[in-house]
Amino acid sequence: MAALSEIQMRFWMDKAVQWGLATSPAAQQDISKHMRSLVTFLQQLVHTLQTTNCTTEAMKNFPFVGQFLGRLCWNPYVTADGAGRRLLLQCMWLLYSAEPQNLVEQRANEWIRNLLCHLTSEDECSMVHALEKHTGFPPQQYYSGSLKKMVALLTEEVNISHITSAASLERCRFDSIHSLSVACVPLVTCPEVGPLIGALLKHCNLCRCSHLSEEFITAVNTALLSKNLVMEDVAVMALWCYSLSSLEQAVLLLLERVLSDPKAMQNLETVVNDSLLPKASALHCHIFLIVNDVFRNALIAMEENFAMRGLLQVFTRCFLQTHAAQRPQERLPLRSFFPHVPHNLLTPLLTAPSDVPKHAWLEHLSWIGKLLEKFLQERIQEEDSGRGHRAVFEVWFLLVQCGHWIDVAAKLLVSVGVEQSEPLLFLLTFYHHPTNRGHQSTQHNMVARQAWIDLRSLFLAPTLSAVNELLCTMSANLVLSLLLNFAIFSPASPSRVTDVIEMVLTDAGVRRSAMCMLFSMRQRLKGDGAVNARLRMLEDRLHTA
Amino acid sequence: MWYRCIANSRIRSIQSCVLSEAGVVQDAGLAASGRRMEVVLHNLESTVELLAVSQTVSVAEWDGETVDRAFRWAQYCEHLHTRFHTNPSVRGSLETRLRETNQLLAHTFTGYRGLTLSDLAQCRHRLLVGLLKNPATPHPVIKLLLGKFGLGAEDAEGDQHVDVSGLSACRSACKLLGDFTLNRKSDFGLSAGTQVHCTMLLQRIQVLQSHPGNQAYATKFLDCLREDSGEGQDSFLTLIATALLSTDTTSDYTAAQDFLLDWLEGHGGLLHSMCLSLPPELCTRLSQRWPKFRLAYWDSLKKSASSLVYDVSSGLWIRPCDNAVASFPTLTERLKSLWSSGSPLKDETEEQLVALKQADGDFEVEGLSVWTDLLVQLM
Repeated sequence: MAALSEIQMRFWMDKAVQWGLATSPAAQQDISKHMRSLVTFLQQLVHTLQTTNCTTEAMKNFPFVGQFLGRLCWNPYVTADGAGRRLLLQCMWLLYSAEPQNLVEQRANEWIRNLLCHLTSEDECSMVHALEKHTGFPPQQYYSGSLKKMVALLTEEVNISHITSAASLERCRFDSIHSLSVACVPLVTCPEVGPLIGALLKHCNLCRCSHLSEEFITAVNTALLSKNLVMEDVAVMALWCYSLSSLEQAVLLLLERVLSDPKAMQNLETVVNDSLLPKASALHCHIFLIVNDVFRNALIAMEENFAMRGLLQVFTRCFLQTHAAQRPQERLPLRSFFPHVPHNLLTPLLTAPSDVPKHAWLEHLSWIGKLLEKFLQERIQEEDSGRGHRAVFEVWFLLVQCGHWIDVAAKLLVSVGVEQSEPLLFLLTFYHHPTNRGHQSTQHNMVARQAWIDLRSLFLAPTLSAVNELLCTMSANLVLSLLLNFAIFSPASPSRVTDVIEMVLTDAGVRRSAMCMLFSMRQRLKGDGAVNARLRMLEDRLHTA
Repeated sequence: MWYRCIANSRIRSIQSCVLSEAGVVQDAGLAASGRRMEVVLHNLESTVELLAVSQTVSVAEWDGETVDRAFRWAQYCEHLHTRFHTNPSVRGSLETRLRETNQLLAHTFTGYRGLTLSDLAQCRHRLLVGLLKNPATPHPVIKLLLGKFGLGAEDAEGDQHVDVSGLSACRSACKLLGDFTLNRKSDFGLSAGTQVHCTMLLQRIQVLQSHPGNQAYATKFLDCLREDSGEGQDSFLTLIATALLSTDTTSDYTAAQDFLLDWLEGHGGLLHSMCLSLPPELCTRLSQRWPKFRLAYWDSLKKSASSLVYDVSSGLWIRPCDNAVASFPTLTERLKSLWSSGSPLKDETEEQLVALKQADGDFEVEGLSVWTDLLVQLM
């Protein structure tokens, strides 16, 4: 860490003088803008004091340090901030000499004791002091109780002033909303103040005439992401409606969690629902569109990543569930959430497999396959190829969102005959290879078909084949998904399945992908005893090998 | 120097108490009767003595461990307060023992300030502030305490001391939010801080009222509050007025408010200064809500008006030297506020003024009757 410069010290000293007791909104606004850099400066100061031998030396190097810290301790805006307060106390601890050697150090000790008294007690002979003394609580309890009451009063006020302004369609009367939000910046991590933070966010979401300070939004979002602030769902959603960057950060956090932690795949649904994003998306169409924009960009960047696809699929499922659970009169039509795809494709894909009878699955998938093929044919003939590509991408994106039908197709492929396999293999190929990159679509189709035939013979007849060679082609994910479906759903004996898996899954990278797919299948298929036993057996195999 | 000897021997015995472990707090649970009660009283006495010693030079012998024990004893006393402050019979014993201990300590230590029962609720805080203010407290001890506050010791040990960081956080937050005013008309622009203070006051009275036999104790509470407000008498009066006007929707404070008003009546001087110093709107509101206050207010206005003297040379009503009287313009302002509040207060004021004017001879000429002139201002 860099040493403190004279200029820095001078700058912050001037600021401390200028801020005074932080009684004016302007001073508070200025502190809120400087708070983070002040904290960094205090950290540097702590570090410098740690490496200084004694207080006399510290006072010699920074003659203003006492005055500087003293002023900050008298500034409630600074002492209300958790990090600022801790650093101030730490500086005081470092400056306090356990064995003062001279008058300077004795004076410094005396001064620190006075500051501590100031931090903990009211001035005597004031009504506030008398009340605190006689109400029969320890001071900490008294102030925490007072704060809770104050927050309740202000929260009610913020809520009421919203109701009046919405009813009368007048300018919002609580014109101090902005100043209140500034005052709340250092308080966002204070548990007692939580309800007021939520009320401010909700207020500004419903009443467009008042504004919250930028620093307030940043502070709330940071505290929320680091789990230092717990707010009710409505307030979190209000924050996302108010601040686009907060929403984007929440989506990125979810992405990071899922992509960086393999365990997250095991309970993906919980992770996704806990992020509150599906619920927010169901209630606010624009949130859904923004979230999906972030997903879209992530998917383009890592097309082959199975966890990414799994996340998108689970997110969409959770979103559809919340949407369906809403009251019909409050529910926006699903069409508005998917503005870029043709309606005829939307309905069959958004239908949950559980809403279609099992015997009709094959028919349903054939229907989807035909619609899709027709759609792709039309796009090829389109003159504007750029527009055509975009349209194909959107349809493919929808297919990834509705990956549950791809899962069904892969499962059905284990048991269907050759003529019925066509549309299913087509869907699977398109899902894994949406672009005709390198004009390889014919080759992809051939690989898919070959893999299917080989796997069938592998699982159903005791012949060996070269599936592991296929696993090394560009269609690894496709082949792997077919393989696992065969391993789980084919009537082959467990020992046969184990043999096949051990023979075929030799590459460590492929094993990892297989594990990931298994986790997501387990999520989807939980409840079925026989399937579960198979799944567990496969997981064990992959683990031990 | 016999008292010095006593002092030293007492201090020694007290020091030995610091060196023993704090009595198991559960003792207090069974304190209500017999021998256990004697144990509790003995512990109380020791802790009060301990607090007294913490403010003397003898503290120079303390170390980190001694301070830890002292804080445990202080916490024990806080517990006693929490458990028994609303229980008149146990409280009586505690107060008696406190009084006796205070007397003894006053003999031993010059300038000793006695501890009241409500001080017990804040024992650890008093101990902390005492140690900080005592120049004899060893520097390593202060450094140790400071380390516990500043370096994030939020475990059980930090809990047993005073949580300086948390306390300072809540105080700062109260300062930041307390100044915001609520715009609702019913609260006439009072700050959130003032509103909360008045709730704390009413709740305290309510808690005391919820147990029988606490009348005198509640009165004492208000007396102490007034006394300790010192120079903040105006804010104390505003606090009382706000509390009387509080219309909290979540709790019913009527009984507490009645008690507050009775207490005010018992302190005629205070009621009179309220009538003189509170803003006219506040007095009007109080008059609307509380008939007792209305009478007192009207009396005060009448008294002020009758003491005014007409100065013929300047053509003005002049106050006599007595400062406890409102001037003519102030009276006009106060009456105007009553007048504008609508019925029934307006009608009542008018009736009374007309009656007074008639009693004064019913003159219509300026400068003869103060009532005539006031009525002219109002019409």
